[in-house]
Amino acid sequence: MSLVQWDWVARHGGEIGAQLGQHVLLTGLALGFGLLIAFPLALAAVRWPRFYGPSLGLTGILFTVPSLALFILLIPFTGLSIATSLIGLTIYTLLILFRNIVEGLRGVPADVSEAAKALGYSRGRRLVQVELPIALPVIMAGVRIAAVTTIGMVTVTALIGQGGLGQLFITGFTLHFTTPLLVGFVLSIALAVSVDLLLAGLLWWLTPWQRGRAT
Amino acid sequence: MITFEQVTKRYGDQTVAVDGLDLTIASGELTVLVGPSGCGKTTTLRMINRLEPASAGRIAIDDRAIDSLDAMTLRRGIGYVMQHSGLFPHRSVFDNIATVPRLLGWKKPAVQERVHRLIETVGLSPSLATRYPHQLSGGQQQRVGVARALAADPPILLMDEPFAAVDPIVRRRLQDELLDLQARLQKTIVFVTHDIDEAIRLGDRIAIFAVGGRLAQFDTPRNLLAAPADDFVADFLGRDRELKRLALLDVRQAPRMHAPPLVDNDRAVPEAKESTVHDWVVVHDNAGRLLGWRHRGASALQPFTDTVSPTTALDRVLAAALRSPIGVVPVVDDDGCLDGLIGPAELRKALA
Repeated sequence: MSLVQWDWVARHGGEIGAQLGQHVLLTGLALGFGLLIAFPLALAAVRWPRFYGPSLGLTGILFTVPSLALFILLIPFTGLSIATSLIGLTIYTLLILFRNIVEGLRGVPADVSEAAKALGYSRGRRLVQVELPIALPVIMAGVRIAAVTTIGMVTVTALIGQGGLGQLFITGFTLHFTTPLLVGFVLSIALAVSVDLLLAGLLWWLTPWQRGRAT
Repeated sequence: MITFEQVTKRYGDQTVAVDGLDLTIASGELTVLVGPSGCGKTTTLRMINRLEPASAGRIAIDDRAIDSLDAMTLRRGIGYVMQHSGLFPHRSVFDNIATVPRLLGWKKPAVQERVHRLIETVGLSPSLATRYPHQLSGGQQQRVGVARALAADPPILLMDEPFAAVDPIVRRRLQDELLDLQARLQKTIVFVTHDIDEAIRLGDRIAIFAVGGRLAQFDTPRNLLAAPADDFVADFLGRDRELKRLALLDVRQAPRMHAPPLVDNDRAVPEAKESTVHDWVVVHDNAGRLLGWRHRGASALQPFTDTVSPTTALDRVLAAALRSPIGVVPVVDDDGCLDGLIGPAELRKALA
């Protein structure tokens, strides 16, 4: 008996595709919500440094909660829904995103911000046109880690019925059948690697000034 | 014209950076604020475009209080150049220079034309337009910084130790270029430095600040050097103050040696009639052109290694006189004619 039964893969192609799609969707949404929450937090922490410690502490504590425990804790409130897995996944992106956005913005050279101010930029425009572009490499580094972590974490949410490729693991375990296990394994790794490369490529495209420069 | 009336800047409750400053900066002049670190010169500069709010007093530009304008509007009308260029690392040279025109909403062709003109104005090669700041040398970065500050043609230019971070040779060139630029553009420039030599070289007027934010003296370089108001100023100007004064004067402002021992080579002069005060004579031809010098009574003519012109600065005249074997240096005018001799005694009179 071969390790992978290709006829099974062929028969379940549609299903596997849908699970891959859900995996991508969950990852994307979790990152999106993560950024939506982490961003204002980070801006606040940069502007009011006193805010940084508590924010870091809170996101840090959330990050340390075991994932399975967190999902189970959420079930009484949100049930076995996509909301449960999304809330959990989003929470795990917060620490990394928050920390990297703060570090990125803090890394903007003081004289550059000062110059922007002196030339007559408003606070908002300065942030969008000067500080964020310069912070982008550090922020993107955080997004990449968060993305890869989330892609791995999504498989865990299969246990509450929302797992994307994680469903393949459950199927494999239940049926004592290696094919779905391997397919799930290979696809989730391939997904993580391609998303990571994609984000790296996006950064390269967005930061022409960094090219050919030692970092 | 920028006026400070009783302007004070306090940090927290204790530290006084600027103390009751009264200062009028004339339009079209290059005014240098100079002093030791912690004297409030940079704070004074930064109060003009409200990077630092004044704690008390009034600052006005052409009699209009700067607080009456919105800070962003005010800043877009004032050029600002800082020590480490402060260029935007993520923008090309072109885009850096285009910053303020774009903030002001200029049309694309106008921006383009302006930027290309400025690249030329500050002496950069047009091929640098697409480079990023990290691909430029320190001197080039400062030039881009100046171009960016001049982009929207502001009447006022604030420069905060703009040349402090480049090496001395480049600094000297940038200073020359700034003087050249100023001669053409006639901006109101406020320039901060801790280097008194730079201040003397560049300033139409110099404001010397003492620690504690006190304005110690405000005058032209010549007047400062000639009459320092107190010991602090004298000390800050340095013990070689007289040499600095000489550098600001030229041969036209110095007397010539009285009764110089000159000899017209075409006329035979009996040795007895030669001056006995000096043991040398300077020889010229009958058209007044300098031929050289010789020992009294000797016939071997020796050439001068140095001559000076009417526009030579007096510090160079001093150097030439010290090098001269006879202790004085001949002045030769534009027509090549001998126009007297200058030595240390004449330089002293020029300073008197």
